[in-house]
Amino acid sequence: MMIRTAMIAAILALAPGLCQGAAEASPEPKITSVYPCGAQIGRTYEATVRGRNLKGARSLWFPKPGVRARVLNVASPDATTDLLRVEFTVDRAAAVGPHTFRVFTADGVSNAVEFAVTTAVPILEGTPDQPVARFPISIEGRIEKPGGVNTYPIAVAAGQTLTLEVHSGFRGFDPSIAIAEQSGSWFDPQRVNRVAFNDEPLYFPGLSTDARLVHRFERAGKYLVQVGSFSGQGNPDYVYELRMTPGVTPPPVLHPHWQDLWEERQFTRAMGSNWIADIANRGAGGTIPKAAETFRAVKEGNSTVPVMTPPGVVEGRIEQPGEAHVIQVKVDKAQDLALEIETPEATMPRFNPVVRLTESNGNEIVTDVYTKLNNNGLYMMKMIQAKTVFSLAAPGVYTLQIRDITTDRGGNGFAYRVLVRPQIPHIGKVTCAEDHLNLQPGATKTLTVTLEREEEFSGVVALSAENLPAGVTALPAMEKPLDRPPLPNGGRLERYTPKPQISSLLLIASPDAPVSGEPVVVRITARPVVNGHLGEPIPVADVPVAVIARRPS
Amino acid sequence: MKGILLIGFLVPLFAASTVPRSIRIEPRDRVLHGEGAVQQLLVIGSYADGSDRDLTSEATWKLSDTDLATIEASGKLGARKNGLVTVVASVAGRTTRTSLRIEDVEAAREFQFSRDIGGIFTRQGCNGSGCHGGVKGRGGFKLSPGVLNPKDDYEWIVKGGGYQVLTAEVKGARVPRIDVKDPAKSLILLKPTGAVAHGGGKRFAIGSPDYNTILKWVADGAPYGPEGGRENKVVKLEVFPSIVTLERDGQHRLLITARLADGRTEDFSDQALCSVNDKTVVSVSGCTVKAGRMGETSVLVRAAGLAASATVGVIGPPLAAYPNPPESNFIDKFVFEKLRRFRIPPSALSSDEEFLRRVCLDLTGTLPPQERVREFLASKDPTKRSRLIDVLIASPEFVDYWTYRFDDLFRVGVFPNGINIKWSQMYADWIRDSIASGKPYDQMARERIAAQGYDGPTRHYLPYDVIGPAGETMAEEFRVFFGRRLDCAQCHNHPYEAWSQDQFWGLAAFFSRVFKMGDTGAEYVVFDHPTDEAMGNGDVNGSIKLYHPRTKVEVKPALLDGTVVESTGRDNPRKVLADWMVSHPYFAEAAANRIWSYMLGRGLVDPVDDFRSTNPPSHPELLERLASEFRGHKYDLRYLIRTIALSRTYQLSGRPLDANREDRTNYSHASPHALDAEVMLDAISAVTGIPEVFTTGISEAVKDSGQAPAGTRAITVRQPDLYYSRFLDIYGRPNRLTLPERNGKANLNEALHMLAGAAYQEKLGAAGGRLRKMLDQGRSDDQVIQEFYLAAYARLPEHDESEAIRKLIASRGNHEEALRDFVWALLCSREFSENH
Repeated sequence: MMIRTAMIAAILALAPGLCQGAAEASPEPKITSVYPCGAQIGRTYEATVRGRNLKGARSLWFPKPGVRARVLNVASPDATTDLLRVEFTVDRAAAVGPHTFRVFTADGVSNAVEFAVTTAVPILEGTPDQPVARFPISIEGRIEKPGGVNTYPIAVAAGQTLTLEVHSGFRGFDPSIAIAEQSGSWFDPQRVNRVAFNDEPLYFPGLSTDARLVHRFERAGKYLVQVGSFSGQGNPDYVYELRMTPGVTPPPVLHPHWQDLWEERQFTRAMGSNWIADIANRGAGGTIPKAAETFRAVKEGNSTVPVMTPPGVVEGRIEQPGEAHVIQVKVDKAQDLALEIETPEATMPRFNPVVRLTESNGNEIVTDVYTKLNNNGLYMMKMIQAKTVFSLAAPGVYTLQIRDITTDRGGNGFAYRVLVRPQIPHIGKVTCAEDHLNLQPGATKTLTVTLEREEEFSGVVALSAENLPAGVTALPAMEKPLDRPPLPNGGRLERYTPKPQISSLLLIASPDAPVSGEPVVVRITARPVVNGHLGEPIPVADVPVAVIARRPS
Repeated sequence: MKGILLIGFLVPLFAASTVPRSIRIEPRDRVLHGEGAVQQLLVIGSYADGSDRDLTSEATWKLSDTDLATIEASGKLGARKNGLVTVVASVAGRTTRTSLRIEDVEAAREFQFSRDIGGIFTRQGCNGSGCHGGVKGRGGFKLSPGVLNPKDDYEWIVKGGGYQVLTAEVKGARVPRIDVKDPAKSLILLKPTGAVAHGGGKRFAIGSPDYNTILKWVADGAPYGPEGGRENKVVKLEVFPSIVTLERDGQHRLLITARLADGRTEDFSDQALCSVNDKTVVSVSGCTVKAGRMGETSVLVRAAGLAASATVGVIGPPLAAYPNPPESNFIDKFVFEKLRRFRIPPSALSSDEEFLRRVCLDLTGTLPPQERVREFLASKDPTKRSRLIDVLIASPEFVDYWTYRFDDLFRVGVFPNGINIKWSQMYADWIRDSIASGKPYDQMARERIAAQGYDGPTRHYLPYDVIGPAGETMAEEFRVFFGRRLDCAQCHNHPYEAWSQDQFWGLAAFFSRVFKMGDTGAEYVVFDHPTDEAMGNGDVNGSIKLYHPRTKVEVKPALLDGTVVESTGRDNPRKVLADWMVSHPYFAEAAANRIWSYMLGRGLVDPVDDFRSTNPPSHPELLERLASEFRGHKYDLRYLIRTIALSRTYQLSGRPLDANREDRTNYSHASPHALDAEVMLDAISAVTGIPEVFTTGISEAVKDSGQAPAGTRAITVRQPDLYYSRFLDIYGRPNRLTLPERNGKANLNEALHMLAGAAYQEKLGAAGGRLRKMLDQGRSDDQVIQEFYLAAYARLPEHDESEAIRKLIASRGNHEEALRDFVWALLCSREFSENH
């Protein structure tokens, strides 16, 4: 008993030391936000970068041209926070839109933080004393504390329309916006009453949670614009830019934000005229299939149904709720086909296209609806997919049906493009797990590359890392086995998901590798190899890598 | 002056009259059809005090032509020949007459199993829920309650076999319960006569009319009678009178009339089973009710698988004078009429103070600020009450409060709405927009019931991020929009109501095709799966078809009356259901009753979601009229709320009179009801001047998570499972995982929280609060007392209240602590924690 107690005490005594040691072993710089998070073209201004391990910051590193920064100083208000004061300069030639930067210290390169380069509109920081009456204007702010709501008085004319947008400068900050007026009530003459509110145009995975509100003011007068955090969180990282623009600015395209360089399983990818060739190029070349012809389907019930032959793109629009479109697909031999769907305008979750290929007797051969049972086998799960592969066992004339999954949705934006084509084995999406790497001389680190084999692509894939820092070499490593087998209730997985494969590239810094003066962008590429023929390089990722001084062990 | 006014409102009421002002025979203008047709007649006396009494037992009867009919001393008329017979009844020197037509006496009365045999089972209590009509039947023998399913009953008797609840399989060997060869040996006769052991005891004697009827039926080969559509079914039961008032020693026979499918009527007085809810108020023998103690109860009448009810009140002694209060609108007409009949005087009109606090809380969940109280009390405007009601209905607080009400009813919450804060917010925003824009309630219901896609109302189809079982979903829609509970019928025919398992699953089938698209838990789109498309799964039938749990037969969507709604393949059957539901009379009456309950503290049917024949409305005509008005004003919630608030009934004082103190159901005075937890917390914050802070942690210890903006009121906290509050949990805030039921009953936790809870203790003297500010301003005790009385009670203290409080404060060594205790005492009082 005594021994057991002593052992527990020893473990407990050791534990904090272990944890601390682990923390000290990785003093990589980490940044969380920059304030202000909007950068106006042609302006030089001071900004504060919040993060950790920023002492000794040497420079800020921008992957896109047009923005520069000079490090001024670093303060540490508490044990877990560093405040890096920098001077930003935004060139007139800088591209308007999102940019990123990283901080480079003696301990390496940090993660990236996004900020927006905006056009030349007046910028305010903090709460203005007088109601804002001139638009456009940008206001930089932050929700300092939980429950915080920042209020900006504005003065508007009757009939004036404003577009109010809040752009979050912090990944975890989901802003909301409201227009209110102090119109009072019988109970409280000072009551602030909400006039309009928005959280984001549409909440859906892959869409921005930035807030946007377009409002026409019927009455002239003073109003209050309120910016808060959706579920009431707040801390100094919750930075934002509030833009108030007269009129109605173009609404955001409610298409999911792509994280990767290549997406072929997204409804919103554009299947242009070279789409088939683009795919074929990811399969080590060979004979490029012919381009797809364009067809139009007709409303179900129409006496005359047009006929298409693969490869072909069916284009159309579900104008009315409940409407279904049909076209016949003539196939002259048994073959492996792919069905690809694009929703160029409205997309999930507003337009959820269901595409079915049926035999003449109505039997369903294939659909874009992936069906499986959930883990406990109790619930049927259904999900529409942008791409489906299948085999047709016999030649014939089939019917392709296109509709929305609901019976009460349809309209102008419900446009679709459905491509029916022969399968083309190729490399699909290739991603690299690492965002950046900091290497000490004599150390190794791994870059993990995941690639998806589409349509039974069986060739070899060559991986390479180019532009390595001096003293750093890359070696291929054995691939990791897949962690989990497919679920037993997984349905016809092979139709809707590619075969993933994981490989590794080992980066090795020699013991005498020189310390980097600035990060080096290492380009990871993949190249398909089929029948001894090396295909075109496929860009995978640009990873900033730095060799940093060895730390005492 | 007040006394003169009061006298003006009083009208002399006659002492209990012993001589009727007039008499009449009921029913009138009745037609008797067929061989052996009978009709029970009643002689009703009308008295000067407005009451009616059953004088049948005192009546003597004469017929214009005894060849045409016979009449017994009890008033039972029997048909002999076709023709028009005049019946004359005499009581206490008065006579009255009525004519009845007799037709088709030559037509043999067609035998019907349900009526002739089933009626015996009903009358003898065999098919009651406590016996063979229970869920499992009794002793292996199952009858449908009140002959709800005569065909089933027939099979169990004629073919035999044991009944099982969960399956249609017959338990044991099928041994008939009749013996056609030797009818007297039939089990169906041996058991109720006690010839063999019978758990239900002896029900009738050998040779009794019921015995003979069954014996003859068996001897005739146990026919069923006309099948299916040819059967002249009873479609409705009617009870006369529907409301009965009895003197302390009074009794009244109930007439039961069956309306048949062909439009004819038939006297079912001898075929119905009458039972009473509260046997201390009345006892029942046959269908004659006899007075017990003072009070009100309902008598349930069952026959032919149907049920009806009558309200019976035993009234007190006559009042020397009965007030004749003015009526503000139709509500008062119905309420006062019943009060008069039951000899319960209404209380006086509420004081301005009572009214102001009540109407503010009921319409906005908000206490009136003290300056508004002073202003209202000082106003001499005779229309100030109606003007205030209009102001409140137009206020933003009204939108806050009724949004909160419907958040509760429609179950807004993170867990009930897909375990996703954003989704519950989408749903909550839809409710708020609906209330704020004055969307008609039928439109709200339609949008919710038939919701498809990815918008606010669809989110209520995703409890715990799965599509809820069809049966549960249907039962909830039914309960919310129809105020009726079908849940029991999920597993078996409803034991007390005419809800069958078939009806339950027929309605549930409207929801069996509700599907969600998406598999990551973040993108669910709700849709109705087509019936004729696999959409990826080989066995589409297994996924979207609904099978009757007992019979294993596929159930098609069917409305309550059995009308099957055939699918066109790709459609949303819930649209049909939604249209049907909002046009059904249940919809408007359930909504009207719910709003009434919110405002009066008790539903006309109470609980509000438990409409059933055994729980009839206290004021059926009023409920019908409210529903009709609601329909007529396009389901405008504001109109309904305004109409109720304008009635004198709503505005009666909460101070009971000796003569109405015991009244709980007739709205003779306002009945105090506990403030909802959220309203109560807001009221405490308003009185103390210290707003509540709501955090998103799962306990008070997690303070660094999210926080609602400063000044957020409890009624505007949309997701109860997101914002933690110990106070709200203790005071009964529901988590909305199921349909909320707030009982408003005090509990020990509340008492402990009053003593030590933050809401009571930390706010009292907090910096920035009302008391602290007044102390800093050097206000006198009188000023403090007055302001807190106005803030908490919406009234000034009475002189003796002020005196007592002043003395108490002066007697305490610590002045500030004494004032804090005074405020604490106000907040802990019933006057504060109740709406009255």
